[in-house]
Amino acid sequence: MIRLPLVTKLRSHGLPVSIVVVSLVTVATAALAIVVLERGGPGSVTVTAGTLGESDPLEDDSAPISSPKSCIDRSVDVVDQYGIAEPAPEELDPALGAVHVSVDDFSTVTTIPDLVAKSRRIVIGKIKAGPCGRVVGLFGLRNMVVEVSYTLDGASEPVVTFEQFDWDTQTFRPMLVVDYPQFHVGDEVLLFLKESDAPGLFRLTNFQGAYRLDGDDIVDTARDDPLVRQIESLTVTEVQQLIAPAT
Amino acid sequence: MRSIRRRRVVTALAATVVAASLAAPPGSATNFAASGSSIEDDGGRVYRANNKYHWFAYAPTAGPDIVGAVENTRKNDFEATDLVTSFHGTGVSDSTNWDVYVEKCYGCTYGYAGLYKCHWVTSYSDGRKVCNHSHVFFNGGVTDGYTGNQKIQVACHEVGHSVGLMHGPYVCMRTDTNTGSSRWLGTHNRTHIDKAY
Repeated sequence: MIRLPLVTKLRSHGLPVSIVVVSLVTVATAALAIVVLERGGPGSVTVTAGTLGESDPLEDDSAPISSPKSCIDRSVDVVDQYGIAEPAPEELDPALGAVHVSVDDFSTVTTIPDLVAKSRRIVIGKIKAGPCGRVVGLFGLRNMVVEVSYTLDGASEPVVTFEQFDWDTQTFRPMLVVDYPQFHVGDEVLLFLKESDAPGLFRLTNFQGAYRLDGDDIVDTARDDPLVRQIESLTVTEVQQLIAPAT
Repeated sequence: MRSIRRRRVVTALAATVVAASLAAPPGSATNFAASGSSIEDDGGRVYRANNKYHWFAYAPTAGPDIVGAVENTRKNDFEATDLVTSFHGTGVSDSTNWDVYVEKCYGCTYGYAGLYKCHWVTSYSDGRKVCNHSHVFFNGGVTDGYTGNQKIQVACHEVGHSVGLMHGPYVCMRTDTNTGSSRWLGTHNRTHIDKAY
């Protein structure tokens, strides 16, 4: 019979081997369980207040109210407009993910006064709703309804609505646009807006006009544009102080 | 003796730093998509092309002006890099087989002059993501009023996205103005492309 040194040592201390082994297994199992829970084990969904961690809120029917339903409309007829023969696919392959887009009109500016001058309305507020909006060419849009808490420039109204890029009418997949943060209901925002061609609606002046807030801080979205970097390094109070003399 | 040894160590360290900076991937500098770009959390991303072979085809909607502008930048700028580009015809209806499929449309881009879309991103287990297939759009409502050089600047900008170039202050990837004077790829962008492919 083989005698393990550890067993010999335990017996010499008067400890029953079976109890020690059971205790060790229990501790190891508990430790493993904690690691799995913290990492989000297989199939787990991390649910935090108002958001679904790992699922796509646009495709998830069980998503909370703050996660809007998909606006993708497969009945949209784009064949005539673009000469695309393929109809909307019957089922979307989720592995394809979002379509990544860059929109370019060569209109960015380098100073805050220039950005103010290009904007019709500058507001601070909270996004209260995001219903589906128009289809304009390649873009399915979503109307982001902002409850305004402070108007820095332009006519003061309690609510403004701006159009946000949402889905791609060629592939019927979600669309993400370079340098444009994707806002969601509940986000607190600082927006530089100009009028859209749809009555009563606004659009972002360009990507330099979109900022997410965290209290008095402007969230760093790691965008490269120098003016965006400058604005995101400021507090909301500092932006207010800068914009007042510029108007 | 000790000072000589210290000097050797300093020299070796300096050489290591220089070598590391030269070997750094282009994505670690400005305005090029990092090869490890795997973040798809919020905004859109620009991805590198899946390989160095970049095939161009033109939709029936792309008129001679647009074909001319894109071919100009392809031949004079992108072909001069380590990319291998090729022209695969005009009036091409099948949009799916090309690295860059060029179209012109009216009222399609929400007022923007040019638009780049990556339709097919491939993700690798090491976190890399590359674009296999992209579309470039010219908004005829805007670009029909452009000069030839302005159209070339749009072409250079959008094709630049298709190989991984991001917005920046470097020649045609700038975003502030389009007078046509920044219609070149430029040394900075070309260097990044050559390092990546």
